Amino acid sequence: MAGPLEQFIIKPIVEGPVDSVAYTNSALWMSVTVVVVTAFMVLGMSRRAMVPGRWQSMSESMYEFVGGLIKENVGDEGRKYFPFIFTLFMFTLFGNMLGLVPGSFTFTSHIIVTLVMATFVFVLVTIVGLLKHGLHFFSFFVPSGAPVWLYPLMIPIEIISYLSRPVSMGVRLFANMMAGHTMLKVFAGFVFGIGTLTFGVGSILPIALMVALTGFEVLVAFLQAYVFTVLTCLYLNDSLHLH
Amino acid sequence: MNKVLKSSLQLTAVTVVSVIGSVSVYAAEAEQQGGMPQLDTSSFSSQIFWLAVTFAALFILMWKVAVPRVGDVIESREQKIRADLERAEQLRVEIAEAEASVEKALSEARSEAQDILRKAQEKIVADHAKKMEKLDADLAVKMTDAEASIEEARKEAMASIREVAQEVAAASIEKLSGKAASKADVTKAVDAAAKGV
Repeated sequence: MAGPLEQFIIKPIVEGPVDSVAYTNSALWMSVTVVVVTAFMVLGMSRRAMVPGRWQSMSESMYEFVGGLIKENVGDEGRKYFPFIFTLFMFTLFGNMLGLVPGSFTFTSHIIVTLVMATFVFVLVTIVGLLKHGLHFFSFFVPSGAPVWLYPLMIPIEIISYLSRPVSMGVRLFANMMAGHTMLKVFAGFVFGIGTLTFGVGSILPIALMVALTGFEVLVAFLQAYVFTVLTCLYLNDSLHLH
Repeated sequence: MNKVLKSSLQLTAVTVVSVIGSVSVYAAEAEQQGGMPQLDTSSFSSQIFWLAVTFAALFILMWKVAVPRVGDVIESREQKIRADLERAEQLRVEIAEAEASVEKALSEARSEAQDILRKAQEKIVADHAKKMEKLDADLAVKMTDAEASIEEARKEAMASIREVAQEVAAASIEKLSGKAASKADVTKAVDAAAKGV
């Protein structure tokens, strides 16, 4: 029987021209995410109805949810970044959700993916800050209101905390997704493990737990996509407005 | 009771044993596989490459297709709501204006009616006064005429009374004395008597 970590193994589906860009199960589910998100948004809006139907309502509420997040956390200046933040949210949300489909692959459960995404956000947000404020951007690392003799201590702390942002952001998403999926797999193992020992009767408990855990994982999938997006908004807000 | 307790204890024990068993089996398998697949650096380049490709594709699709589409629909809906509200407000103002003009016309009509009524009343009063005046004048003329004619009649009567008195006196003298009195004497005597009256 498959181990709980086996679901995370990257398997090539199509060999690339070079081995380093092989089309894998991870790449497949990234592509599926792109197709599903695009279909969800484009087909949902195909009628362009003045009074939206169910599907159009869902597409619109996604749009308005992200719009609300930006407005709340960044303000009107954040409108420019809407397409990027919306893409980020939809990509993570659907990546997490599609990962819960049995037999699928969760690309957000790989630290390299989440870390690259978080680093990209980090670099982007830093560039936005530098473009907007120039060298004044570095005043962000000088704590306001602290006595000057504390600066030698505070400024390195501020810089370290700034640099650790992509790490905490990437690790949070990866760890949540991996832990959830591992747990589901472990309990799935119990269904067989206990089942064989108790002639199937004892399987009821782990199955019930798995049902509850799956519901919980749906919540986590949404919550982590939300957290990832909110953090992006907060960091963007810091860059645009400094303190 | 004892039996139920015993069987549930047994079930618990079996569960615990199997849980520990499964976990240790998985742990052993994971170790055999060489730990977490997430730490297998050989897959990193492919994952980063396809992440960049798919994310860029999704970004372009959202940026150029999906987001403008949703934005357009929401914007046009908001515009329609705004236009409808504006129209409602405009209609409300129009209604208020119409109400005010109706009110104005009504009050004008009312004051006009009062005006007409007042004029009519004044005219009636004036006509009445004029007629009364004319009547009074007529009556006064008639009264003076009547007074004049009465005076004339009285004078006439007085004149004829003297004549009658002369004749009566002459006749009486003739009857009493058997002889006719001269007309001049009678007239003199009557005039003297009349003066005494």
